[in-house]
Amino acid sequence: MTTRVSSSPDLKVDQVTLTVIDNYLATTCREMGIAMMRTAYSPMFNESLDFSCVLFDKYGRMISQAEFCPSQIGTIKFTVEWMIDELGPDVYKPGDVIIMNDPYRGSGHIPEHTLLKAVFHKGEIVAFVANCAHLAEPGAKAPGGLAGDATDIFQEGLRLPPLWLQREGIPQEDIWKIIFANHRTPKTTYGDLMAMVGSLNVAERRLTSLIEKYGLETYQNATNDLIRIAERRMREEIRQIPDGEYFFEDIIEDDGVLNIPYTVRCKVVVDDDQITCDFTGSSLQAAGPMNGTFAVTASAVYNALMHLTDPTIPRNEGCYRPIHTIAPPGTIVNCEFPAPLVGGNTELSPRITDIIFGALANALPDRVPASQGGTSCCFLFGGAQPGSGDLYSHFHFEGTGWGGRPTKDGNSQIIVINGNCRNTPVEVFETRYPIRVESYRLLEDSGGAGENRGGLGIERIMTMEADSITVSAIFNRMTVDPFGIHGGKPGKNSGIYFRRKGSKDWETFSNAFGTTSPSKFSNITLRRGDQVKIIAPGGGGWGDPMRRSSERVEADLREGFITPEAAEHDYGLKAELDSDGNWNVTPRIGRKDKS
Amino acid sequence: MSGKWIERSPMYLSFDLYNCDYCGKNIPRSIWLENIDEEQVPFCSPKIAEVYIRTREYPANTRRSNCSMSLTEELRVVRAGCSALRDRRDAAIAKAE
Repeated sequence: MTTRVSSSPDLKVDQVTLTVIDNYLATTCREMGIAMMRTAYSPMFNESLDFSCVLFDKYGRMISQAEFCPSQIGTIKFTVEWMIDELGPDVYKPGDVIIMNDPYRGSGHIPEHTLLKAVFHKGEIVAFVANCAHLAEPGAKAPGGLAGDATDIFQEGLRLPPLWLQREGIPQEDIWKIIFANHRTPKTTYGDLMAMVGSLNVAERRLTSLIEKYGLETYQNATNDLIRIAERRMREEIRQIPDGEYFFEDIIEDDGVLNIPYTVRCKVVVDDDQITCDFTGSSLQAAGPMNGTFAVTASAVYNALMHLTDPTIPRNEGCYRPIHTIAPPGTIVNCEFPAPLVGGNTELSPRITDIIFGALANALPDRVPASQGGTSCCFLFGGAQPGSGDLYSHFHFEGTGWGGRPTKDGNSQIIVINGNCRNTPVEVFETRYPIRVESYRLLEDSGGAGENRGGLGIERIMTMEADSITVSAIFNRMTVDPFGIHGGKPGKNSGIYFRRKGSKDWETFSNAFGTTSPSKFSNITLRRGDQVKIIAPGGGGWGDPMRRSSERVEADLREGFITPEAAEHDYGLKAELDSDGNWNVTPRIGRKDKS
Repeated sequence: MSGKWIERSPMYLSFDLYNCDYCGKNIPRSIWLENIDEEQVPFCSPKIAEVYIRTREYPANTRRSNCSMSLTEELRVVRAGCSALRDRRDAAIAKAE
């Protein structure tokens, strides 16, 4: 996305230069990401792109970002603020790299590590560059890190407060040794962290070059101007939303430890040019890892509002300033130490975004979509490679259907809204790990019916090809539907099922292994030939399905997106195949024509 | 008000982590501790402690049913007072400019 900047008398830099610098900064963030993607060791980086790259000014204000993982982009604002405030402003030297992943200091969850480096010009700090990335192996109780039944933060991996990973370009061996000793796959960790260091070096070179070209004063004036522009334009956007208090709530179905539902409640208060999302009244914190921290909740709020406002607003500190979050400590949206929280970033975060959408559905009827599938379908596994005996671990996630939109159907099989990542391609999956993918397909009728249909989820079936593979999972929406809006129907639920070698029947992990939750568990040992089936949910529908045109229903039948039964039941159209193999649909009584 | 500012220093020996009990923000360094029902409750600033006492119940996941302040009014006060970190940063920027 190319951003637009507008001129104004209070700006110090001309509009053309501002536009060039703004896009240079965003391109620098993109280049940081490409450097990481190409040089890291794990598919989490190379394929999934589960990372983000962000630039800050010398005060720690975000000045640019690129289109990476929204949940990380939102949390990194708090992570970097914390790092700079905890360490102090004057402790950095050229070549220093700081690492942190502590969720109780602003990070999203333990697997996401943030690296920070100060950029110097003539001996003075002129910027900070940072990236955040999900390491596939953080040293948790479960391979891959996301233990669905963790009962405290210490089971979720090695927690790092702000530490010097590198001082004046020299690796701090003590820190590296501690990390390597706690991760199952230290070589991969090394490659991934060094890719992150390399990405910071790219940003440092690019910023230095920018300052040399335009001069320090113009660079600083430009970043200040860009923040002012972004804030002004975001305030203008918020002003277009009618003032008022808007309410919505939804359910997290269980937490992996206790089989009880948790309610997430939000009141969105629009007050002229500012918006506050108040989660007062949400359930107290969960016993299992479905909690979020303040940064996760605020990040999900930002994510929702960035989707509903003009995407050409420069993405920096300014566009966050009119957006406020209240997340009472001790609740599921802001748990207190040492509560477990690794699933908050993958499951609670998209739920919060959907809740904001739900709250604003009537205030912004021409912008708000229905609920997405709303789970990352986290499937973690690890073990020893057959033959070499090398340890491996991996975090696999699936896309879901997204909600129907005011103007279009929802997209099918896209990673949830907080991720903006990709899943691991079958070829890479099978090459790197002893698991064979038997089938992977869009699931008919999984998208919620609507005038604009929800996107489809998928079904994936995998066979274990090692004598022992340890698996874990964090899914949601297995019992609570992805909601439709304006009369649209809900999308189909998610699921994760097990089939023992030689058996014909699929069963839940609760039935097969006695896990408390069928969707959140850890460290289940599977044997060669056992199978796992993942079902990713569909998105909710938008608008009354009876208003969907017969041509669009016919097209869905042709593509295999819906069955004839759904055409009749949901859309009021009787569908029959003619002798040439074409679908003919005829309206049933009660169906409304689209006006 | 019966609170005090505390500074976490040195950081490596500060074992407690603080969130503002009203808005929930993590507070890295300077914390306002207010005495409420014989407990030391952390806040971003004294202003927020005041509005909290008027409007919220402890723990802060409920709003007082007899609160005379509308939510919108309450949030205006909060927005002004729950940004101590940002205010310090803005002051530093203004000074530098």
